[in-house]
Amino acid sequence: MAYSTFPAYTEDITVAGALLADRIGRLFESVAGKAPLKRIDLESLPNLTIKVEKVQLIDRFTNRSLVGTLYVTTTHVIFIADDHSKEIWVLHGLIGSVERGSMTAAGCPLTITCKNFLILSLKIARDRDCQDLLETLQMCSRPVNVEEVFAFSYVRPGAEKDLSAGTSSEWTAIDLDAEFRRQGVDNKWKMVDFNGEYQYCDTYPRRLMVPSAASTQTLIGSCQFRSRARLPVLTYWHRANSAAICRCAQPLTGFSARCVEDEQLMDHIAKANAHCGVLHLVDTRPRVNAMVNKVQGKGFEDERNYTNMRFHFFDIDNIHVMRGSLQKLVDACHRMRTVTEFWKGVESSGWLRHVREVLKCAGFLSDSVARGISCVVHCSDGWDRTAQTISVAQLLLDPYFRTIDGFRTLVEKDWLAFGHKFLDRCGHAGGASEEASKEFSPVFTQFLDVVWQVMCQYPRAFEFHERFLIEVHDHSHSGQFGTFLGNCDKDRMDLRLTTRTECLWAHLDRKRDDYLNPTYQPGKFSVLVPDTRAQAIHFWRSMYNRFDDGIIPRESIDQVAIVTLEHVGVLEAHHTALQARIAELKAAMGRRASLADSGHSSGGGGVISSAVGDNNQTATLGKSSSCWDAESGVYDTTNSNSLLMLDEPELSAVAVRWRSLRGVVDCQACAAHFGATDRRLHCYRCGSIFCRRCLETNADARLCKNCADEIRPTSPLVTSTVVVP
Amino acid sequence: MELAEAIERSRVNDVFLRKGPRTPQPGSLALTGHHLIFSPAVDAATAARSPNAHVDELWLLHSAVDRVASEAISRDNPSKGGLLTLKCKNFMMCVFEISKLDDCEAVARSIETLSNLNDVRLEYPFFYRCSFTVLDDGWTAFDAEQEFARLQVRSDAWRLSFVNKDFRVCPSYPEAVIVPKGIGDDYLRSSASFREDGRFPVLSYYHRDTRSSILRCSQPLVGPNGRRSKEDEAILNSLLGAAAKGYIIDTRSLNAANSARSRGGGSEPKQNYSRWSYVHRPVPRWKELHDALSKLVEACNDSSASSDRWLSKLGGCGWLQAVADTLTCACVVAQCVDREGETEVPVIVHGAEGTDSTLLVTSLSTLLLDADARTVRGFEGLIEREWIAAGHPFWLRCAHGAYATGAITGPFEAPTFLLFLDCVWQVYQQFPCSFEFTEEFLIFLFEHAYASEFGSFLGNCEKEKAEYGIKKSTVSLWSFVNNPDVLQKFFNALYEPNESPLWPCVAPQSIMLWERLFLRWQRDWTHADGAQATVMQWKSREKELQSKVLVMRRQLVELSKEAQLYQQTQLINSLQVSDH
Repeated sequence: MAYSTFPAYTEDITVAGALLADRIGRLFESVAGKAPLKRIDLESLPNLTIKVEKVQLIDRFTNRSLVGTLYVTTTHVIFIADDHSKEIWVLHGLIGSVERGSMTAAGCPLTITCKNFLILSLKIARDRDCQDLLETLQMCSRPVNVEEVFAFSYVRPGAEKDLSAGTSSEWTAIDLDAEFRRQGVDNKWKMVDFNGEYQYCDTYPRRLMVPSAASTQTLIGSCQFRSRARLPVLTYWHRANSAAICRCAQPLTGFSARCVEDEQLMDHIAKANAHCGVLHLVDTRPRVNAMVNKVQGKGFEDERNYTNMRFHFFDIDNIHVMRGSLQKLVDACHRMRTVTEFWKGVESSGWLRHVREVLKCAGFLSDSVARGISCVVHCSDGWDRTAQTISVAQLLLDPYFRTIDGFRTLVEKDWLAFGHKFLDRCGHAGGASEEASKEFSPVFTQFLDVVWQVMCQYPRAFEFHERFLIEVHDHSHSGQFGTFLGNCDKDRMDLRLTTRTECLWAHLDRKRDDYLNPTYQPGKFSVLVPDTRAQAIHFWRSMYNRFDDGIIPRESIDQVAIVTLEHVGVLEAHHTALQARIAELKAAMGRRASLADSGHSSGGGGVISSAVGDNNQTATLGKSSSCWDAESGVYDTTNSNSLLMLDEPELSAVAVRWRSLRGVVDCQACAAHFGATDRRLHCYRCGSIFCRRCLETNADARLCKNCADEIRPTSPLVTSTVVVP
Repeated sequence: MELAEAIERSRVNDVFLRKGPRTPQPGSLALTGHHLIFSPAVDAATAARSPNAHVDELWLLHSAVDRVASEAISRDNPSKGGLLTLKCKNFMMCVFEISKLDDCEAVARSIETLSNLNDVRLEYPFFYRCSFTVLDDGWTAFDAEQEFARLQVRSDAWRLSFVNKDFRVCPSYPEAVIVPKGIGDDYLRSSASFREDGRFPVLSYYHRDTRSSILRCSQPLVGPNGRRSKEDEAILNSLLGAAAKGYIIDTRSLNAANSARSRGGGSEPKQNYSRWSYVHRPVPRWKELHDALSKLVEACNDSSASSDRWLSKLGGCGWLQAVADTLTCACVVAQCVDREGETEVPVIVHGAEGTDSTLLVTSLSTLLLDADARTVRGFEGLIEREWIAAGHPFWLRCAHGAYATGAITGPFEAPTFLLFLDCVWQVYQQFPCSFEFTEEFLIFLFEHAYASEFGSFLGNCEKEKAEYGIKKSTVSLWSFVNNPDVLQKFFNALYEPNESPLWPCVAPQSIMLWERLFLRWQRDWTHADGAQATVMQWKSREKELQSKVLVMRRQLVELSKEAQLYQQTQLINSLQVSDH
C-alpha cells in the first residue's frame, strides 16, 4: 500500500461501505439504500487522513468564494461549506491532477482537476496544509498498483455477504457467441478457439469469429504478420446484406514484406460476403502517420497484394494529439470570458475537428456496409481509433446498439473484449510516472462525444439519454467498479474482477429509468446517416461544463419530458381505475334499486371484498385495469355497505397535479441538493419532488415516506368495520 | 410607377427548380406585381385524372428577395439557358434553370426592380385582401390609452401626455406618451430640444414589485460647449422621488460617448445630474451588425467548410458576441430594477439616436422582468410599444438582409430587430417553459419584419404610418396572429406561467447559435421537430388526462354521496317498517 498509515484492509471495507451508504450518492448515486441522508460525523471516522479548515472554494465565473472544510479520507476528497450550502465529494480515482501555486496574502491556491471535468479552485490558509494536501492527493489519486484501486475495496450496500462468500452475483459476463447469434451471422463464419488460452493474441478475447474457409494455419500466419498478433476478425455482421465489419491491427509490412496467409484471410473475408466481391480496407490514420510506421517495419497493406481491395485513409490523429486537444478544450471552456475568445479556444483545441473525423470515418463504414460492402478496419494497434470508428459505425447501422442493453454489449464487445487499454487510457494505476502519463488519453471520452453528436441529430433513435453516457464516462474513470479495470480480457481474468469487485452495468441497471430518453421511438429508425458537415458538430456543454451550475439551463425540456411521460402513465392508470370504480358504483346502485323494487332490503354486516380491491388499488397502479377485471364477478355476494364510504381511496391515490420542476433545488425530505442534471422524482400520491433515496419505488409506484405510511394503516378491515350500523 | 411596367415577361415556361424549399422539379414561372410563382409541371396523366386538382405552387414575395443574380449556365454557350438565383431575406436560396438566357435576365431585372420599391404605397400590404375575419383588430389592440389605464392601476406617478400631437415635438414618437406626472408639457418640449431628434425621456417599463421604472430617450445634445437643459434635469430628478440615486445606462462605450460629444451629442455630465450613476455598457452599434450577420450567414451556407474554418467564422463574425453583449446589458438594466434592495430605482437607457440599441436593451429587460411580456399577447404588445411605436425605423433597417452586401445595401440597413429576436431566443432556450410561444413564433416575426402581407412593420414610425394611411389601408399582423387557428401553431405546450424575473446565463458556453433560424435551410429538421412534437404531445395528453380525471373524481364523489343517501333512506325505511 502506498499509504501504510491507513487502517488495515478489512476495516477499510466497512468504513468505505458505511461512508457510501450514507452520503456519497450526491456525485455517484451509488446507493440504492433507502435511509434518508443524515449528517455524518466525518471527524469520527477512522479513515480520515487530513482535515483542513477555513478553505475557500472559488467560483471561477463569479470569483466569489465559499468557506468550508476539506476532508481527505482514504477514498474521497470532501468539501463541506461551513454554511452547508454546498458539499462536494470526489473519489480519488477521479482526480486527474493537483497543482498548487505560491503563497499569497489570501492563501495558497490549490487546483484539483478531475477526470469528470470538475475543477476545484481552492485557497488554503496555511502553506504547510497546502503542501500536505498536494502530496497526499497526488499519492492517493495515482495508485501504482491496480489492486489499490477503490473498486477492490468498494462494497455495494447490502452485498457484504456476497463478497465475504467470494461471489458477486451481479456480474454477468458478456457472451460473444450470443451476440453473434443475435446478429444472425451465417455459416460463412465460424467461432474458433485457437486463442483459447490467449496464447496467440493476449489482447483479444479467447473465442474469435473468422471466415469458415480460413484454416487455423492461415489464422496463425496472419497473427504473425499483424502488430501484437491482432489478426482480422469479425465484429459486426449486417443481417440485411451479409456485409461485415472486421477489425485488426496494422500489418508488419515495412517497405515490402507480405504474408500469404494474411492475404488469404482477407480474401476469405471478402468472399464471405457473397453479394459483393469488393472489400474496403480502412486505415483510420492519416497517410503520413501510416508511412512513418513503415520505417518501423509496420505500416499498411499494399493494394496490389490483396485482390479486390479498396484502400482508404482517414485523418484521425493519435492518442497524444487527442490528449492535448481535450486539455485545450477544457481550458477554453473554463478560462475564456468572451464569446469570441471562447470559440477561438474551441477552434484551436481542434477537438470538434477530431470528433468530426471519427464521425466521418464511422459514417463511411456504415455507408459501405449498408451498401453491402464489407470493411476491414485498423489503425496502429487496432484498439483506439479502430474501436471508436467501428463502434460508432455499428451504432449507426444496428438499432439494437442504440438501446441501453445494446450499448452495453457494444462497449463490452468492441472496447473491453477487444482490448481497449482502459487501465492506461483512464489512468487507473501506474503511479505518476511519465510513461503512464503518455498512455493517458481520452479515446473513450471522444467515442462518447461522437455518440452524443449522433444523438443530437437523431433525438428519437436512442433509448438512452445523454445522462447515461455521462455516467458511463465517469465510471470508466472513477475506479469504483471493476468493469473498466484492466487493459484487456486476460488482465481482467487474472485480476479475478468478477469475484473481487462490483459490476458497473448492474449498478446502472438499478437506476435504469434515470437514463431513458423520453422521446425514444423504438422501431422507427434503422440505418442512421449522420450529417458530418462542420456545422453539425457541437460542443458538448453538459459534459465539459456540467459542474458549472449557472451554465446549464435551469429549465430543461428533457427533464420536463421525462416527468410528463411518467405522469401521463400514472394518470392513464388512474383514469382507468376511476372509470372502473364509477361503473362499479353505477352497477351496484342499479342492482340495488331493482332489488329494492322487488321488496328485498339489503342486510348489514360482513366484510366487503370490493373494499379490499380498492385499497390494493393504490399500491398497484400499473395493474389496475386487470385488477378491476378480476373484481367484476364479486358483486353478487357484495354487501352494499361498501358504498357508505365517502372515503373513496381512489380519490387520493394519485396526485392530479404534480409539483412543477421550476425552482426546486433540493429534495423535499432530506434537503439533498439537486445538481443541474440530476433527476427529480415525484411521489405518485402527493406529487412532491424527492431524490431517489427518499422514495419507495416498486414496479408500479413511487411513494414518499409519508404517503407510504398513510396508505399502510388504511387496511380494508379498518375502513369496512366503521360502516356497520 | 405602375408595377406592371416592371414586368417584362409575365410567364416563363421550361423552368427547372434546382434548389429551393422543394425537391428539384420542372415547372414554369409566372410574375405578378408582388409575387413570383413557380408552378410544378403537371404531367398529362395526372392532369387528365383530376383536371381541377390544386397544383402545389410556390409563391414568393418580391419583397422577400434580398439579392437576384442571373448567369448563363455555360459561359461559352449561352443557348444552354440561364440560372436565376434568388437569395431571400429569410436566408433561403432558390435556384431556377431557365432554358432561354434572355428570359432569365428579364425575370431577374423585373424582380430586382419589384423587390426594391421606393414607394411604401406600392408594397404588397396595400394590395392584400384579408382572407380571414378579423376578430381582434391588431391596430387597436395595443393603444396607448389602454396601456396607460393598466399602468394606473399599479402606480399613479405617471400621466399620459399628448404633447406630441400631430408629431410636432418628436417625429419618431407616437402621439401619446407616458411621462412622470409632475412634469408639464412645456418641460417636455424643452427636453426634446435638448435631446437628439427630440426623443425626450418617456416611460418604457414600470416594475410593480420594486416600483422601479425604465425610461428611454436619446443622447443629450451636450456638445463640445457643454450645453445643459434645466428642464431635462428637472424631469430626471423628478423621477428620483424617494430613491437616493438612479442609473443612466449608456449603450455606448465611454470612447464612443466622448467622441459623440464633439459632434454635438454626448452624455449627461456628472455635475448637472449629480444623483445619477452613469454606466457604460456597450452594445454593438447597428452599423456593425449588418456585417456580422452577413459573415455568419455566409459561414452557415458554406457546407464544405472545415471545422476550423467554421469555428473561426462562428466566433469571429461578431454576431454571437453581439448577442452576448446585448443580453449582458439588458441583464444589467434588469438587475438595477429588480435587485437593488427593495427600494425603487429609476433607470434611464439611451445610446445615440435611441432607436436601435436603446430599444434592444429596454425591450429585453422588460422581457426578463415582466412575466406578461412572455405571453403571446404580451410579446405582441412589447413589439408594438417598444419597437413599432417607439420609432425603430423598420422600413430602413429591413430593406435588405444578410445577402445584400456592398453596393446593394443602402446606408441604413441593419438587423437590429433580428438581434432582438435572437436574444429572446437565447432566453427562451434557457427557460423553455417560461414562454407561452415557441421559437416558431420568433422566426415568423423575423420573416414578417422583412417581407409581409401585413402592414405592421411598414414605415419607420407612427408618423409615417399616419401619413401613408397604413392603419387604414392594410391589415395588422396581430389581427392575423390572434386568430385562434393561427395562435395554436405558436403555443408552447410546456408553458407554465413564471412570475419571477428570468436571469439568463451570459457565459460564452450559454450563448448558442440559433440553428433553427440560421441553419434552417441547410439541415433536415424532421428529427428535431419530431422529438419536440413528441414532448408537446405528451404535455397535451397530460393536461387532457388531468381535466378528465378531475371530472371523473367529481362524478365519483356524487355517486358515492348518492349511494350513501340511498343507503340512509333504505335504513330509515326499514326502521319505519320495524316501528310499524
